[in-house]
Amino acid sequence: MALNRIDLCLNNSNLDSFLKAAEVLEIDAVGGKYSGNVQKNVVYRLEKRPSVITNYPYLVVSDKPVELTSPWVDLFIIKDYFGLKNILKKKIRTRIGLEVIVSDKRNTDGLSVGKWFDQIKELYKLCKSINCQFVMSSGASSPTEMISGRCFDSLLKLSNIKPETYWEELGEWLESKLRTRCYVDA
Amino acid sequence: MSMLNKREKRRYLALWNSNRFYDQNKALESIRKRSSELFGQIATEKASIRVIGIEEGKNIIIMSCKLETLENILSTIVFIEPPIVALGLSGTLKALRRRVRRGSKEFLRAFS
Repeated sequence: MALNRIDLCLNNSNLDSFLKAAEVLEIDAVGGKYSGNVQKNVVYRLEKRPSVITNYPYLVVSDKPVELTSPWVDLFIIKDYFGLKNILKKKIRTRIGLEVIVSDKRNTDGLSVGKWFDQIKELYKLCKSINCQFVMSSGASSPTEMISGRCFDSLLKLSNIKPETYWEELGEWLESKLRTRCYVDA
Repeated sequence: MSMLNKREKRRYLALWNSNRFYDQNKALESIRKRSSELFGQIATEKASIRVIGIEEGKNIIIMSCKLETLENILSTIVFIEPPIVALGLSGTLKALRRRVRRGSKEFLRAFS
């Protein structure tokens, strides 16, 4: 079965080189900053909901806990899961995406990475129980920091998440989010 | 039935050597060190990681590890700094080298 793999967080607005790398690494769609240039297979990450109709697909992304209850936020970046756990259980809206970024852990020690995996396991269970979408993204700021599809699968397996189920659910969630958007298809 | 001749299955990995930072020993050392940190020394020894060679003008490192520890090694690669990108893997060295040769232009275009 061909998996539709998506890396929703690339930290660069020049997405040309990332798209070439994504093709090589078996990543079918990416998420990145909007720089005025609309590209195929890209979902743009915006800080605020645009006031006019756009010609590109987008997600409103935040990492501020005060914005967790905002009806406009589609994707919330989890930086400190254990600090946010109680807020997430009480205040979260259903169908919001909760995103963990792999690049945050590249320079940390083994203990910190181990704890991060523990956090992911718990977060995934929480997402299931409160009907939210768990999202794992690379956070790459250059093509060489990107994660191949097969490596994503390994990270998911280590977190006790079945990759096939994850990619399918992520694709469906993204489609449902973008379907309700009012944007003009370029 | 004799079990003596049963060979352990291995997987061969093609890795992009960012900015040609790593030579064979450095690459092996980095992966072994990070794997020990994440999965422990015993698991790292069991993985039996080997560098097969460096290809395409030092841009690609070919390595192998035991199949049973493949998931650990792929996860380890994600957490290495300076980054290494896993381009592909195969059960045979011949097939992997063929794929690397076929995709070399694309790899250069994507990562250089």
